[in-house]
Amino acid sequence: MKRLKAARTETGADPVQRHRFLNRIRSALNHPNSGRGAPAAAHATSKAGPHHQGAAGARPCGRPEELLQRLQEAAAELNIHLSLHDSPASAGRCMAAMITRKAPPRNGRREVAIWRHPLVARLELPQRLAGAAITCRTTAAADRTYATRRRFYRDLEAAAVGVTSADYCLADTATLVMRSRPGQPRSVSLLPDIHAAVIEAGQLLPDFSRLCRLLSSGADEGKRGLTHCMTLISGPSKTADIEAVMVEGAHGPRALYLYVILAAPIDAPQPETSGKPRTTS
Amino acid sequence: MAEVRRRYRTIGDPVLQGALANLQHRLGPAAAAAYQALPEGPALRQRAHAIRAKAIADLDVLLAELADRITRRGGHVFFAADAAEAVAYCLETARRHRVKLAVKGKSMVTEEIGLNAALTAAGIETVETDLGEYIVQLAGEHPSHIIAPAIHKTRAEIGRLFAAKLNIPLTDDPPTLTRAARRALRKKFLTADMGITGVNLACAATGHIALLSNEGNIRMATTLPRVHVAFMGMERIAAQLTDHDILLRLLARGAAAQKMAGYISYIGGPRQPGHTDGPESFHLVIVDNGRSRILADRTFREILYCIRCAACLNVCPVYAKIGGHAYGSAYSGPLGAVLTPLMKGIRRASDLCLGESLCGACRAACPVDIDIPRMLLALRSCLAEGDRYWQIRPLNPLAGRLCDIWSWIVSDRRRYDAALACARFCQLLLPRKNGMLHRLPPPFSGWTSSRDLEPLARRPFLRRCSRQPRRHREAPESGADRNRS
Ligand code: SF4
Repeated sequence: MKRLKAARTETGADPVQRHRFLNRIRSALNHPNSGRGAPAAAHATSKAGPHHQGAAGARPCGRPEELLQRLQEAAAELNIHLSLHDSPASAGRCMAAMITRKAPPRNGRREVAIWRHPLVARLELPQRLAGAAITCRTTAAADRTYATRRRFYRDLEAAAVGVTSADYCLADTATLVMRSRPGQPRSVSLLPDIHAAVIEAGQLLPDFSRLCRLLSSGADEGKRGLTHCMTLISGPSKTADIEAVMVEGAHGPRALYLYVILAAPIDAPQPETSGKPRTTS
Repeated sequence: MAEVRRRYRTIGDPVLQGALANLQHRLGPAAAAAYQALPEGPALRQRAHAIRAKAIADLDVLLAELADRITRRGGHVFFAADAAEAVAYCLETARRHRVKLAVKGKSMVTEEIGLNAALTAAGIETVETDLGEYIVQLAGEHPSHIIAPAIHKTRAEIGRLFAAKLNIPLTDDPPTLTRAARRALRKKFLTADMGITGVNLACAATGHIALLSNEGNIRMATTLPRVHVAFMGMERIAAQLTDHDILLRLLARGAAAQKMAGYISYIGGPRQPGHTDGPESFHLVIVDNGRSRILADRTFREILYCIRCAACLNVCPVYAKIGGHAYGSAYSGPLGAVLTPLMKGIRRASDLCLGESLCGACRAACPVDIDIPRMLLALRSCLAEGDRYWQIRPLNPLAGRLCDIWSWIVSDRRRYDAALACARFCQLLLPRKNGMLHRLPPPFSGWTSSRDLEPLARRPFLRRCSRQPRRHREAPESGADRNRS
């Protein structure tokens, strides 16, 4: 009997308990004090109804140049080092230079953790960094046991830079949106000191509203949904818990570098704040 | 009595008064400006209010939907009727997974149910990982603000604390202190068996919980350990992702005047095959603990719309003076003044709802436009008149009668004048101190128990100005003349 009860607790799905809990809510909603007439009517419309199309929804989704402009402003506000590039090769060169400059040796070694991702692969970081004696570890899509996971995290701890891509980037808030996929662990954007992300300009969305509508639409993206874990990242990790002084690098990365690859050269104005000039040579 | 003393201590502490004033000065106006800068304008708050109202009205359906979706992904959902059940479930889960070390993200509901004490008593090391909470935990204190838990501590105090507990050289430099905490907590994250978090807002349509942070500690706690237990007050749910859009944007603005929280994690279950990150075992504990009782009362249901952003704390003049500890519960500020009495007993926590100024600043600051002053008044009338549902007997039936008599008197000019004349005569018989009335006779004695009262003027104000109509009209001019000369 006791074991039966324990088993139920493990699955958490003790149907009696759940039933009692939800019934309590139901009767509270129907309580005379709540002054509520027919609960059935309210319930009938409870399922995700028509999506809210507010003022934000009505805003134009933005031309690429405009989105880039908004991204640059938001990135400057959040201390994100943003740079625009014409090609993956240029972004790769720029990122390799940054890594060589910024990555401090840990335990006598210099390491970089890299997502298994087509766009990241085109940066050709291992080749570029080989000269500087920096090891690149590409994350494998492996089913891990808890023991191998721990080892993975220990290695990742030793990496100075984590290189990822993202599903989307929200221009208004410079937010990277990442859904869980094998070979693309979210810890790569969390444990290393520096997080470097590369995206294509086509992955820009105007804002969070647009993302929410896209993910709850009936289209492919909506069907794919959020996966079991979706992470949104706006800027480096920060805290203001000691006398309200802002400090970057609380638990996660202390710096975020964002490399945007433009589909075709466009004449977006380059603000002073952007990390590096656009190099094409 | 202890509570009163606690309040006085805060008021007499110039450092804390400065810190609270600074916090309010920084965040109060900034949040208001952030609402103004919304693309939809500040009216979005009313829409958010409607969204919350709808979600609460459909709460049973939404919770069932959420639970089903999470269970389908292999997560466990536990419905806890009260604090004891929630804590017991967490302990049982920890025992089954042989948990020795748990890392915690900041969560109000775990404070409410007293989880830390229970885990520690069971021999499980429980580490708060939000920097502010960590400081407070090291110092053996309680948080004093929903989003800035260590606002009552100065950098010098924190420096001394870290020097003693973390063995670092004494410093009061916030970046150095932050790095020291980061190093200490990294070790904990990498070895912890269990991550414990709250839930900022769940989404029924997709079956996820959303967790917000700026530091990244919550990402750590939900990524590295092999067990994750998330606690959620049953009201923290929205129907669909597009509601999240509005609510999370408002939450970030209300909480820290940010456009967007630094990190938002949507978590819908345990690690999936082929993936590296995430817990093998994911548990969501949905906590009632007195909420359904509030839900059943239309008058107070609105407090369940709260998304715990702390915007109301950042503008409240009473909070600014007495600080978070004076509220004696996990929830402080205007929100706590309504919620704590409803959870712990209106009579027991009566000085919380009696102490507010009803200035309305909290309502103007609330991202979901909750009418807190209305509920404070309703609580007071419960106390005064008694309430069957909340099992309150009126404290003093005589007070009600007196109020009736008072309203009868003031509703008529002649009656009022007669009463004043009578009072003016009676006050001649009362003891005075420095020209003030020192003690009133019962049943009015309460008024003078802690202060002296100005006596009534010998001649009423109205009579005085009606005597000299001309001088009254000329007064401003002559005043101006005097200024010039
Ligand atoms: S009552 Fe409103 S302002 Fe106060 S914490 Fe709740 S949501 Fe925020």
